[in-house]
Amino acid sequence: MDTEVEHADILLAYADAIYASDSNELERTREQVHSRMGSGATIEAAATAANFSMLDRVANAVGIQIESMAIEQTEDFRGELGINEYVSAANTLGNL
Amino acid sequence: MSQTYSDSAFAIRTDLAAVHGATMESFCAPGTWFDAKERREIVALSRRARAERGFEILGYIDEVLDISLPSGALKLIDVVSCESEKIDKNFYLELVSNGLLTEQYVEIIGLVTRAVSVDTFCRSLGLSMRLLADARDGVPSRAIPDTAVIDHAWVPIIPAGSKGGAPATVLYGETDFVANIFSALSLVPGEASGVMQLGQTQYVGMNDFQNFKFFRDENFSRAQLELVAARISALNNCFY
Repeated sequence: MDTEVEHADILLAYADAIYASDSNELERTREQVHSRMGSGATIEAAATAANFSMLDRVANAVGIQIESMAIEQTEDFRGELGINEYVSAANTLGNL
Repeated sequence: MSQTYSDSAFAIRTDLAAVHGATMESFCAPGTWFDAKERREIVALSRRARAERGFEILGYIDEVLDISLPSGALKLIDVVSCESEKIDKNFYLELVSNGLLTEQYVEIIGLVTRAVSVDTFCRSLGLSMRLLADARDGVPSRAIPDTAVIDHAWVPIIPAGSKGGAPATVLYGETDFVANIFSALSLVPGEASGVMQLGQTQYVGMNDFQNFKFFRDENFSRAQLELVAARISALNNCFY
């Protein structure tokens, strides 16, 4: 998928490695981000991954619905990306 | 750099180190429905669950002390830690129908998710896990916010604005709107506050949320930040 975001390739690889459990891959992808984007960017990418590792679990665990304004705004790409198939989708879609 | 990350080769910004330090301290302090020993144990069990499932925690040390916890707590800790994407309403109802208070459910989620956050940050930068301090004395407050209601979640939440009354003002400030994710754990305000503080420091503050040019580092744009956020959320199958 072309995101038109600079350095998307290495950031996505870093995010994937953070989620998975391969320490060699994590080290490799972290070094890629570090060498191409710098220390500050590496820290912020790590902080972002940490934050959403938390928030995703909160959302999944208490069954929150997405805000009503976002339901219509996201309708077109949710289906395309398979997001409607998540177990957590029922928390919103099941209440429409 | 604070003591929290004195071992880091990366120069971690002060506010981030501070909020992680405060988070770690909160795990060993009395909470609302659990005392300090129990809270510390919940975090230790979450780490053990992740380690046993193969989720890497650098420098892992098993800190479990076999402190007794309510029925259902172990299952909740395990599932939230390792496979939260599978949680549905039946899971929640089963636990709270079999000995776990809704308030305890919420506090456990707060502890586990905040622990995952700090641990993920450490692992991402190649740092060993931050060790838990000894549990501090004190009793749980057992305070229930009197304006908490069922709204956008399975559990009661404190609504923003006038409906939320004084509890809302204390937790959210003077605002008529708060994102559902930040009111999600408000049945236990201490945990909701902890999540919000981490969110504002690790991600974007509420005042900057609509600023799509916001950045903390000139080499990491808002778009790049959202890309990483979206990827992690997709991997966690988080619809929200």
